[in-house]
Amino acid sequence: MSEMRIPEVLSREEYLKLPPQERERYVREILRQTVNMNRYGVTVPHLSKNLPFDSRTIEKHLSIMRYTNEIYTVKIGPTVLYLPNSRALHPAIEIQKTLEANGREYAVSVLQNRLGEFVFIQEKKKTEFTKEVGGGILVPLSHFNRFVEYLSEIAKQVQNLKREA
Amino acid sequence: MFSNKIYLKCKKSLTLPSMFVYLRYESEAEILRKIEARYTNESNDGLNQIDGIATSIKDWQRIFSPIFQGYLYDEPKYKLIDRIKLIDPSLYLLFTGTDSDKNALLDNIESSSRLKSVVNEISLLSSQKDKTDKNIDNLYPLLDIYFVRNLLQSQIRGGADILISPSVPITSSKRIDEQIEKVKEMNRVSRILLDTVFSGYSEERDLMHVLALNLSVLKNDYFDALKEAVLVNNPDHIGIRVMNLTEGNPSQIWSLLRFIKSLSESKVPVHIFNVREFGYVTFCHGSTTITTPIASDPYFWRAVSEEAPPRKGAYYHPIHMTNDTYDMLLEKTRANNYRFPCHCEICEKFEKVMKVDELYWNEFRRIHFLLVKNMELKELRETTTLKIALRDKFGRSQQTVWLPYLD
Repeated sequence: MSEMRIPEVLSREEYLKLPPQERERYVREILRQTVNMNRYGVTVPHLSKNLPFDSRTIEKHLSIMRYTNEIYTVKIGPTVLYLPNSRALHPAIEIQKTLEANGREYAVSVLQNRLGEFVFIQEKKKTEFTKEVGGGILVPLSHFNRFVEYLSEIAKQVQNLKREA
Repeated sequence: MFSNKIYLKCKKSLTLPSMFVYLRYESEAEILRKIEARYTNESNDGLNQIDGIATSIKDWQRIFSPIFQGYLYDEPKYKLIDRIKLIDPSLYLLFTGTDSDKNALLDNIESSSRLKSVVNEISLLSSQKDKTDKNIDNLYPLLDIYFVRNLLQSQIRGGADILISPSVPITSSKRIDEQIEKVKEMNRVSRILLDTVFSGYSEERDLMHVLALNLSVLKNDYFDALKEAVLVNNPDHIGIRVMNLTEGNPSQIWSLLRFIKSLSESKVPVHIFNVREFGYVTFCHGSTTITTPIASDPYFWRAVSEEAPPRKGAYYHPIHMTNDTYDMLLEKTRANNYRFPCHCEICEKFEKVMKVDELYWNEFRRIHFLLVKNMELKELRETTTLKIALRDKFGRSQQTVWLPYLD
């Protein structure tokens, strides 16, 4: 694996002076930046060697990011490689417009990763100081039209339900 | 280097050369609002050329509220609310301010009781050397990441459009290395905090790193270290707060101008804080924006024992570019039947010096100052060659002391 690129980080002493909630935010953001800076993927041992966080903390945040589809994993033998699902790195199509609804923001992008081409729908929630990723789904690009038709069908049914109510 | 506009992440912009005003009192905020209401319309330019409004973090709540409160009647076409807003952490006040400034600053930010007691202990020392040593040895460790975080958070909550990294002033030749190191550390941490803990704002707010400089320590030998400290972690803007400036010290002034020039080569907008007419000179050496106090001398400190200041403050003479006392203004205008030497809206309205009521004088001269600064900036923006226009302007004035710096 080539040398890992990492963002500028706080010293451990500085990091420990942050309030606990902000420490969590800080770790997540540093991991997000690090994965995005290393487009060929990172592993937990590499991250814990290069960043001032222990491997359990790193694993916890990576699994959350994986759950929200910000990153994805590829298993090569016993090694799990974490790769970015970032729009910035695989911007086949960049859709600038976002949809805002009840304090949530929905962004759509088309991306290509090792597993294929996808439409990525991501939900972000704005807190007082951050934009947290709430969740995200990946729809294979080849099936996206079917997915939209499926949603349209559901939209009609929801509309009917509203009328009946 | 830059086109004539710089766009900020918040979507506001500044037009070059650019000027911000620095407010210190609520009365100044009310004056801005009055100018907006009375002197800004289709035929009067009012404050349209002034791109930004800055104030100290110790004052922002009481100063910004009259400016940004809602409009009860007609909304003006050119709103103050559209101006770029800066909330200056003004940490230099902890080191060089009065006791009341220090207390006001600490009361307005989340700070520990230990920090307050150390600041108060240091205030009681009489020797400047002892103060500097104690500041570095005892106060610096308390200005940690948590303190920086609080100052950034206050600026975000206050709606600042450009966030300013808090940093300590550079004032001592003997301990300059430690001072520069602390500035670098605070700047480094500020950028990391904005990109992580405050990541929701890193795409919406610019970040400015500022050096507060006592010009006596600004020597060529330190240029590289100072540049490294202010440019660490890629700020969107850089600033220099000029803490003192003596017209009669050309070597210091040249040193500052050379430093501004070398900073401008980094292609990051350079803001100069706390300057008056000298600020125009800095435009010709690479600065993009100047921030000026309203109708007051930025470097004047009145000793406690001195007699009370004159009740009628100084009037900015737009041709001589001088701050004339009331008596001096009478003397200068006597030959012309005491007519004001100015065509701003408020001077045209009153026409003659004696027509301004004594109680209204200080408000009048501040409104006049702002209207004139607006006109001066308009003139500079419309000129094709800034240096020649400034040479002409200073050449006609009594501020010829700045001419050699425009060659």
